[in-house]
Amino acid sequence: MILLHPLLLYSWTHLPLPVRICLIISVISIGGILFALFNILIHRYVLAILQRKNKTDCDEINRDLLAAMVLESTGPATDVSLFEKFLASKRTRCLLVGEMIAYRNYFSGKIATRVCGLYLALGLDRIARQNLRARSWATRASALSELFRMDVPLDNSLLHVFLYDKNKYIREYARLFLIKQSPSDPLRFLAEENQPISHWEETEIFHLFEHDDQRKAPALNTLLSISNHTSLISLGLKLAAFFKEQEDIPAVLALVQIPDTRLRIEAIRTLAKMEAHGAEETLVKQYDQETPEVQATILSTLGRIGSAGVVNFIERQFNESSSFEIKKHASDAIILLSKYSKAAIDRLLASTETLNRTILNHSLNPLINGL
Amino acid sequence: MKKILLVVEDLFFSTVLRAVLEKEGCLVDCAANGKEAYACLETKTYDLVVARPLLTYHNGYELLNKINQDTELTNTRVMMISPVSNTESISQCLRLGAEVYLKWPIVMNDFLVSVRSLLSDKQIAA
Amino acid sequence: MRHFLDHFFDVYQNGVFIYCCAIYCCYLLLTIFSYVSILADIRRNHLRKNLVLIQSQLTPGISIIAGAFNEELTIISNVRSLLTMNYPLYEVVIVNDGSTDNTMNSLVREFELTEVEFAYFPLLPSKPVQRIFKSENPACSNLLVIDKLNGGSKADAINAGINAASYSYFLNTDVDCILHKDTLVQMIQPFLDDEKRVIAVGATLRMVNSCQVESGVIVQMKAPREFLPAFQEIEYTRSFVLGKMGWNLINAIPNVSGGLGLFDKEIVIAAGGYDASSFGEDIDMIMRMSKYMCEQKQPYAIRYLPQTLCWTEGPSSLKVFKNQRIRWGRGLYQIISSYYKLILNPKYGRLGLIVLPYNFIFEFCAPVIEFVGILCYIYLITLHLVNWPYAIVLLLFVYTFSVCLTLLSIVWDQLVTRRYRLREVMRLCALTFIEPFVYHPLVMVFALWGYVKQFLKVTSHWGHMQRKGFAPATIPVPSLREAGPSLREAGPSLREAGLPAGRQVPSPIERLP
Repeated sequence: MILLHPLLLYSWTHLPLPVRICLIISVISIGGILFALFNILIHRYVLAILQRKNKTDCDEINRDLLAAMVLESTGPATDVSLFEKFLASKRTRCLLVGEMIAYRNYFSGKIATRVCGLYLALGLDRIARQNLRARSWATRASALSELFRMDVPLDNSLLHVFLYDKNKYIREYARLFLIKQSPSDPLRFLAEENQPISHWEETEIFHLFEHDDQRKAPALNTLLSISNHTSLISLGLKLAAFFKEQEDIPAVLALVQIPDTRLRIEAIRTLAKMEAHGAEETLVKQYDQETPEVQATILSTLGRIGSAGVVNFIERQFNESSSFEIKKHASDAIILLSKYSKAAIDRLLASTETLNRTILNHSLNPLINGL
Repeated sequence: MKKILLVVEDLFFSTVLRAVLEKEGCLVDCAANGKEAYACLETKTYDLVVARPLLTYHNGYELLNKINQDTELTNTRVMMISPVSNTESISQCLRLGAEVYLKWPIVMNDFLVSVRSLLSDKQIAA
Repeated sequence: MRHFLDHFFDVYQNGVFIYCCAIYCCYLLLTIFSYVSILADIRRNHLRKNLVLIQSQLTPGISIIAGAFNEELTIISNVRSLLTMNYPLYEVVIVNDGSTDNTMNSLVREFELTEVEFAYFPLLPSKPVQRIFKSENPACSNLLVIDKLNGGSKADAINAGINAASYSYFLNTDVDCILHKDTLVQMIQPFLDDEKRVIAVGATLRMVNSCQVESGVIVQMKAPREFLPAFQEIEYTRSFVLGKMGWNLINAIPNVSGGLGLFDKEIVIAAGGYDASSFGEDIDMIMRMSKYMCEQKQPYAIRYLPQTLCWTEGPSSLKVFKNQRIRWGRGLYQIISSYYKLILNPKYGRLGLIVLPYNFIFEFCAPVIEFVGILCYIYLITLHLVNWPYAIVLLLFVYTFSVCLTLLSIVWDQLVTRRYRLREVMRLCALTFIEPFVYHPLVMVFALWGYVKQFLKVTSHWGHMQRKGFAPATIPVPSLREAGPSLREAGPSLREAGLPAGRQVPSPIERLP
């Protein structure tokens, strides 16, 4: 108090500016400290109560879903009234939707269909559709995600609006919906829009095809065009490698000449996965013009699709190249072509060059290569 | 009564599979992790182990290897269930002695058919 | 002379006050940015499901590279826990960095290792690799162990690991760190989700000191009970949650911690790999990667995740703590002296215009300004020239602001991680009130000591922190949920802002890294 007494003798305006600034900030900081402490206490208290309630409700939801969706799967249609009590509050409704999505993550087939049927019967999709018009992008994206995971179709006209939304998550979901809802030529609109897609979205789109046995191979010609964005071409190559349709091989082969190095590498790798044996000659011809990174990929691919005719070529690259990476890829290729290259392997093992022998033994060792 | 050891760390999945297997008339023990699975295998004999490759303490591959190597567990058959779909993981499980590899999301009917086949000593295609 | 001194102190104290206000404005901005960044990450997590990546064949492979030196106490359990990651395609590369104890023998015995003829090419410099091992046990087919001569630093070991790694991304960690089982699947997401090319991703680290750990798995997470690790925990929370998440919003992250970082291998190799002579090899690597991307005119991003994905054992003795902080001080000195030409160079984008100027002015200079401030203060006290009421107000300003910031970092942390009991969190909050007087002066002194040593080019070694190992679990293990390794380093820690001397006492303010 004695220290403050001189301060009391001055009015606020007589205080130097730094001191005034310090006083204001100190008061705000003390307020901040109190806010932080109370926030932690109240937040944790509320959270503890919520967790207890959620645990009880979750257990009940899981018991009911287990009985209705899994154990009674051969019985009559689910008694929807059993679940209506969970629609009373937003909290329990969200828990119920969360558990339903979990069921669809773990189970497919009849259980997934029953869960979807229950979701629609309870009218939960109506609430999600209302949320599609929310102001907050997070709410809209969350609603889209929920409807997507629950396999609820949306109107194409609405999806085309979302396709041009400012938010990337909403644009992504719109694209996923359009692909999911177009059984024939689902990827055409992607090529028409020619918008870049992220690796994550590639994964999600690939996931749609990977885990749906009913879905037949899409037409990839529009996607595998040089005029498209690199991310779309990359998606096309991944799908081509997955479906291994012979009619896609010419389009992939054309991409081996594309200026983008990464895409060229990916196209060459795709030929290996598609077992495009006819591409052998093209790759050998192109080899000398390429960078070392692409050359290494060509050698790996020849190991997968090559015939007896390329063994000498690969052996020559192994012996003559000074690049470690090229030697390694050539060595792996020779081992993969072992039914044609036994003599070559014996020659190389007998080689006096330590490095060559080491590389070859590395490729031969099943502990390293898992072959 | 056939005895099954369920080693799936995911509580939700474990609860559902346990209920289904018990409805099939099997005695089901649940292990919460690789360590508990090892302890269960040392004290009891099981006809079937349903496990996931991802486990804590000892992963599913180690568990498979243990069952494969242990002469006292020659009659114990193993089914692996996993979300992983890459060929390296699948072939590793099959090389280590798993007889069935089911990718999730699983079709319950396929799961039950596999379980019944493994428990009835029939050979089934991996 | 007296007039000159008065004039000097007036200019000095006003200059330092402006410096102090500038640093606090930065902290305030970082606090706001970090809140926005954390909320954005929570929303992203809600929409991006790990399961999609785990199920997909397109998920890229990751090499976990961990250096080990004399880790016989915990090597087996920690390596085993690294083999239980929730990820579809990865390998574990353990680099035995010339251990003199039973580390190597334990590994060979436990994992049935056999020496293989491995085609190893030393693309990045490291001490010679003597032997390479693979496991004969098919259950450990993704384990690779490199036995090499001791390189004197972690950087050397990591370079050897990168040379042998198969995949395009590698996770740099220590073998004594405990990783969360979802570490890989969480940290790969920014690489797949960002519009720019992401070159590195980091995440939050915590102290494992008082956690109950069983066989390399965290059974129960507990805040450190000892004072020194508890202060470090507070520091890490402020550094990662407030600092790094704040920088994350504007893509200006200065450092990805050496204990947990996921990197694009191609860029690391193009930038020349880790520098074994650096005391701050983690920050040096980020600087070089960023510099390389700027010179190639390629847009890039470095991202941070607020989730706790790694646990490390922090030094609990003053001696080890001192060595660690002196090394960090030397590391920072090295960084500034190596990259000062990039400061304010627009060719280097955010690196030159934000990261390096901030690190130089508010990280590097702060301990110096503070120390000089203390000396001035002592001098003015002896001359009875201190206006005590004003001095107390200024002290109050600095103290309350710093405590408020630290508490806000704990509040933000609670948005993402709520594994500590409430009383543990409140204990940490209570410690923030004494941190400025107890912990912060140590940090300042050791940082300055590091600068002096580096300036005088005193030879020093990394040294080795003798691990205590982990407390055995005394409660029954319900089910395993966490596995985390420990970090050896978290990167340069906070500094003190120098306070205006002459009128007030320098207040211990932690600057955000």
